[in-house]
Amino acid sequence: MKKDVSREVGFEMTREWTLSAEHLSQEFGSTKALDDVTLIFKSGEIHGIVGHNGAGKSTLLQIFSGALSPTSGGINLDSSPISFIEPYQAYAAGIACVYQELSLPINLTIWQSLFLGHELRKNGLLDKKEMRRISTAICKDIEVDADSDTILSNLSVSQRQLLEIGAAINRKAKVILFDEPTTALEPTQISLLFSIMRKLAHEQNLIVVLVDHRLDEVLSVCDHVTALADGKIRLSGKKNEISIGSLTDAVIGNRERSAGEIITPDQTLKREQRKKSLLLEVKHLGSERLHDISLVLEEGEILGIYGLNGSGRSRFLRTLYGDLSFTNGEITLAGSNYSPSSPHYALSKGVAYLSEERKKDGFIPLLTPTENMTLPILHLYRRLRIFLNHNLKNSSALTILKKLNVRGDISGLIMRLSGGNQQKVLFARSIMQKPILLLLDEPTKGIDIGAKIEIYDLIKSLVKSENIGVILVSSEEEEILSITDTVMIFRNGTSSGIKNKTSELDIANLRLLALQGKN
Amino acid sequence: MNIKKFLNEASILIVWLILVGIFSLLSPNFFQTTNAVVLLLNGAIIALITLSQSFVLLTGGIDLSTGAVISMTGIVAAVFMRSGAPWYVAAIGASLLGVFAGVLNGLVIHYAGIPPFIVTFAAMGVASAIPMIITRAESIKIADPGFLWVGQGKVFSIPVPIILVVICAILSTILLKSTIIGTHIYALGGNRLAARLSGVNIMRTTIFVYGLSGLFAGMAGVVATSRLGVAYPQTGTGNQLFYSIAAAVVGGVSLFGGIGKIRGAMSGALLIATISNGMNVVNISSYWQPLVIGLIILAGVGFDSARTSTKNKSKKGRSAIITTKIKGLVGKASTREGKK
Repeated sequence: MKKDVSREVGFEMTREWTLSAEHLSQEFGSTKALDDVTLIFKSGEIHGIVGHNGAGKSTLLQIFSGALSPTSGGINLDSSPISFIEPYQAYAAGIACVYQELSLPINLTIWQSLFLGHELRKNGLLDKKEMRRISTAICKDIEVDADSDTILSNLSVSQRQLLEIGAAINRKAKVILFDEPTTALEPTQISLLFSIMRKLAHEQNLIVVLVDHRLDEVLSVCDHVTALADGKIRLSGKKNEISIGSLTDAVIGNRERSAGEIITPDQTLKREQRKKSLLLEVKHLGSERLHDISLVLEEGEILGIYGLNGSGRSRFLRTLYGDLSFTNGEITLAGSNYSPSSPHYALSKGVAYLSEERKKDGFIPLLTPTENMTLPILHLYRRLRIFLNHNLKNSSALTILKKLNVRGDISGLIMRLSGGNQQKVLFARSIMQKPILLLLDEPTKGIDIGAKIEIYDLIKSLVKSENIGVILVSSEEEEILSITDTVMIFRNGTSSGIKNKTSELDIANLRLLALQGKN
Repeated sequence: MNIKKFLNEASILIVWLILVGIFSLLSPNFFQTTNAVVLLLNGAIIALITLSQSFVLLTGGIDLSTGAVISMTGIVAAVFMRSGAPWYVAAIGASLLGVFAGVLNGLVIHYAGIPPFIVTFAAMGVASAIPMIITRAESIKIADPGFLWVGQGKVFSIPVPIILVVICAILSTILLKSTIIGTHIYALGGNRLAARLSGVNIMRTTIFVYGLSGLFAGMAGVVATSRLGVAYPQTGTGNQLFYSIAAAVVGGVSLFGGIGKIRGAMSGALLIATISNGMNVVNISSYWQPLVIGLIILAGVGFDSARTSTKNKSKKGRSAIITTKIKGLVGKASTREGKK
């Protein structure tokens, strides 16, 4: 097999070779996702890349896998520059990426999926015998104990993930990038994955890159570790030169305390003066992917939920809204039992929800802003119990749209508005429901800074004027720090239940909490 | 903008006028009052099934059982009368049977999560077999003057089927424009996931729409049977389904859901009825009709996809929405949960 690989790539796989990034920068508008990053991956090594949400890990990965071309800088394979315009070119150059989401079609057999797109032929027909033979050998390598004629849907998730690696090996990949591969795996499966990664790097002299946010995991398996924060390399070195403490410091970045001070003292004061009554109590909530979440929320409180990707933040909100079901626990809303079985139920109990991906499940593109806003509360605008009173509906929607300063053609379709204005319309929709509990999932994702500030002001004034509680999920630390009163940390589908006062937090210790999970 | 919009909506009528001109030139028999009545009477049945199809298409679904339900309800009405039921009981009973078939479609689509295409495809088989089984493939003659009035009678010299269609179209327009369920139908067809999160009752809307589709198909069955004076077990298994989809699509009802008006669908029905009638009058073999209608469907859908894609070229993520819709048409949009 080694012989094959060296012939294919044109250089001897047994000697040392490298893949390197030189002065890579990637800008998205005014934000720098990567800022002058220079990195060398050596053959025979497992290289770990750690970083927080938005540190630049996935941008780096996308550049190496050909999904993005950098704003400046370049990459070198074995000291000669290469550039990709399309992902398949990276694949052809021998760089493969194994993503969290499984990509092999589950209706095929193991050998069919491993040879998908580069099937072997003999006399014009498929050479099944040879493909089965090679597949069996690969399965042995990646320790998938299954016949090569097994259909993928009969395999476990971890076996399918290993097969993704098998497909990369079979494609003669010399660099395999792993994007947070352990998220969906059990501990035993994780150790199997790591042993295979070691085998690939140490025995077959490949480059293995592991992007992850679990520091202990990275330190246990990697030979070399690089920490990114805010698009820059904060630390890079051999495993034995790095302590978990220095790595943690590097990951959380060394920003000065600034955002925490955005909360003005008079606001906090006002909150404390107001008579607080309990709005929401969640006790030991559990579902397929969440376990034992407990929290309380008071009227007038903005609770921030912070955590890394996959920590269950959004899942929790969707469960509260009745979109996902829960198996254990009980919820009390405004003093009575609340068991959300559908969004319809949640709406009727005064819960409003703003989803993270407004294009996917937020608005209805072919309707106008007014129609979108009033969709949940159409029953309020009935005449003679059947007919809709369009005038009343439109005028009450317009009043709110005007108040929120929505710009653009509001009589046209909502999909013609800009992202920020679409989000404001969805906000208006929530306000029109007159909710007692407002659930916000990344409410300012992908909108410009002006609209962002307007939305923050909206949330704040809403809480001030109405008896309402807000739960806000966000992966932007500044957002959490500037508008919430309290913060809870989610990690691996659960939370310690400890509420931190936002005024006592800054970006660094927020990130630290999310990494370590405990206070 | 408004002129453009007007032209867009009027374009189908312009095409219709051109067709009328061509057929009139080709045959002196076309532009005659007697032929106009025949055209409109045939058109009434096409209009009813177009209404039936349009509601379902608006939610992003499809109803392939429309034609078969026509056969089934026609025969059942005849069987009712043969066993002594009064004509109005037979007519209403047959229409309700259509509703029942539609509701059944809706229930299976919603609760079993099977794509509308498959469910109504199966229903088409079932509904077209039932009349054959009941009658052993023989037709039933109808003599009841009350029942025949539905398809052949006149009020103030206007044929009853045409009055029926006008009433149905007006009620449908009101339903879509001025009721909650009307808005919910558009919302469901526009973005199923968002509609659900906005509190739209997906189950109720789906069942309502398929039930309504069945009602109109049932009424079409009654009218068709009454007009012929004979219940054929195969009345609706010919081109009817084909006509209903063609008329709706040509009339601007999107196969991808969420777009369309009753006014447009009715113009589409008129156009299809004219083509069908005109081809008969100018003596083109009826074997050619499905070919022409097929091409019309293709042109209509092509125009529809072009419209949906150019309209939104500037918007990112639009293709995702279209993909979801296509998925919704073929299968229930696979609701993969977010990563978090």
